[in-house]
Amino acid sequence: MNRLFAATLGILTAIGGFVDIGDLVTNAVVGSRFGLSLAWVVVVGVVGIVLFAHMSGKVTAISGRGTFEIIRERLGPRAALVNLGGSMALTLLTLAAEIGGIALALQLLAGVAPLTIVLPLAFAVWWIVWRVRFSWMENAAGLLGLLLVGFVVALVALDPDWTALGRQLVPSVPAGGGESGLTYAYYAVALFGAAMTPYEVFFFSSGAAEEGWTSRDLWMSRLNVLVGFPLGGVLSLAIAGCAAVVLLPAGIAVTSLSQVLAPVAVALGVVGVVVVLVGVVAATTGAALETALACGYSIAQYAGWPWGKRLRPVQAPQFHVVVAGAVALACVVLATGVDPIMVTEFSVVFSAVALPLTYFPVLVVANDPDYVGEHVNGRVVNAVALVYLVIIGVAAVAAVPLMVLTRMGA
Amino acid sequence: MRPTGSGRRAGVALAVATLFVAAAGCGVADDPLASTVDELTSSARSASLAVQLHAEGRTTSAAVRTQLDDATLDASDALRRTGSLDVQPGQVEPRHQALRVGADTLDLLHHVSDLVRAGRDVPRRTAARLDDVANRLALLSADARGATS
Repeated sequence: MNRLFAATLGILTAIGGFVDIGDLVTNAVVGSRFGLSLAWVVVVGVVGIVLFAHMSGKVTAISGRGTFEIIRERLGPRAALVNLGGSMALTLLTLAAEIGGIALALQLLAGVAPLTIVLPLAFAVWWIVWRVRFSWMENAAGLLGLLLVGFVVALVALDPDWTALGRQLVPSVPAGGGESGLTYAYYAVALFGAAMTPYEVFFFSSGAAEEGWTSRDLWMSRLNVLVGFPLGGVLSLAIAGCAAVVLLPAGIAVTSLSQVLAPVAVALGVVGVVVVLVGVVAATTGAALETALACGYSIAQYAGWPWGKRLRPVQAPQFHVVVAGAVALACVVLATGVDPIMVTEFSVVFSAVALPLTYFPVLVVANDPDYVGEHVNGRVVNAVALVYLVIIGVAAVAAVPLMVLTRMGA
Repeated sequence: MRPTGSGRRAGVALAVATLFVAAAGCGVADDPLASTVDELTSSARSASLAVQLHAEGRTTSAAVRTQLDDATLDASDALRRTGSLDVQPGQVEPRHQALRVGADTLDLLHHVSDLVRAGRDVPRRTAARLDDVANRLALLSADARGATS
C-alpha cells in the first residue's frame, strides 16, 4: 500500500509539475493560433522529460546525492555556480509565474483582484512548505490537479470533427492566417521549454531522496515517469485541442487565462468551468510548492547544507531560509504589477535556454559507475539521450534570437 | 566535463547556423499593421464570446468580467501601437480605417464591460455590433496584407 502511495509522486509531478501555468498558457496560445500543428513538440517534450527525470531520479536514488551536489562535483565550484545562477533565476521566474497563476485562477473563480492576493498566496505557499508533510502536500495537490481532466472531457463534449482535427497534426504553418515560419519556430521552442522545465527534474530527483528511495525503488521511478509525465502530456494536448476547436475558428488568439477557460465554458457550462478552475488552482499551487522547494534543494545541495522537508527546520535552517527568500522574491516580482502571463511566457522560453546546463551533467553522471554502479545507461537510452542533447542544444541556442525576431511571438 | 575546443567550436557553429536561419526567416515575418489589426479583431471576438457565454449563463460572472477587461486592455494596447506604426505608402488608408474602427471597438468594449459590471444584460443589437466591428477589422487586416504583397 505504501508503494501505491509513493507512486503518486509521479502523478504530482505530471499534474502539478508537467501541467503548470506554463503548460496551460503555452498550449492554449499554440492551439488558438496553430491548431494541433505543434502537437509533435508536446510528444518530443514528454519523451525528453521522461528521459531526463528517469536519469536524475536514478542518480539520486542510487548515489543518495542531489543534482546540484553532483553538478558541483563534476563541473567544479565556479562553473557550477554559473549553472546554479542561471537555473535559480529561471526557477524564481517560474515560481513568480505559478503564484501569479494561482491569483489569476482565483480571480476567475471569485472575482478577487490578483494583485491584492499575491501576498497572502505567497505566505500560504511558504506555510505549506514549512508546516505540511511532504506526502500530504503531494497527495492533495496531485489529486485535485487531476480535475484538469476536465479539458479532456470538454474536448470530447465539443464533439469536433476528429478527422479534421487529426489533419491538423501535420507539422505546418496554418495557411491563410497571419502566422509566419518564425513564430511557428518560436512557439515550438516555447512549447518544448514548457514541457521540459528544469525545476521539475530538481524536484523529482530531490523528492526521491525525500521519500528515501534506494536502488530497490528504481521500478517506481520508471513507473512514475512513464505513467505520470505522459498523462500530463495528454492533458497538455487536450488544452491545445480545446483552443483549436473553439478559439482558432473564431479568430481568438489567447492572451489571458480567461480565454483558456472559454472552451470549457462552451462545452461544459459553469460547473465545468468551476471544476477546471479548482484543478488550475491545485496544479499551479503544486507547481509553486515544487519551484519553491527546488530553489531550496538546489542552493542547499550546491553549498553542502543539510536539505529536505524530511528534516525539521532546526536541522536544515539554511534550506528553509532559501525557500522563504525565494517565495518573498517571487512576491516582489509580482508586486511590481507585471503581467503573470508575460512572466510565464518568459519563463518557458528561458527554460529552453537553461536546459543544457543541467541535462548534460546528469547525462554524464548517469553513465558513471562511480555514481550509479551497475545501473549506468544502456545503449538505447544513451542513443536517445544523445539525440535529445542535440535537440536541447538547438532549442537553447535558437530561443533568444527567435524571441527577439518575433517580438515574443507577436 | 569542461568544454573542449571541439565542443566550443560546435557550439559557435550551432549559434551561427541558428542566427542565419532566423535572419533568413525575417523575410516571412508578418506585416506589423496587419498584426496589430489582427489583435484588435481577436479582442473583439473574445469579447463577443464572453458576451455569448454570459447570456447563456455558461461561465462564472467573474470570468466574464475578466475576459471583457482583458479584451479591453488588449484592444487599447493594439490601438495605441497601430497609431504609432510607420506604415508603407499603400497602407496609409488601411491604417486610418483601422484606427477608426478600432476606436469604435474600444468604445463598444467599454460599454459592454459597464453593462456586465452593473449586472445588466447585453442587448442583442450591441452584441451584434461587436461581431460587426470584428468582421470589419478582419477585412482591414486582409487589406493591409494585400497592400504589401
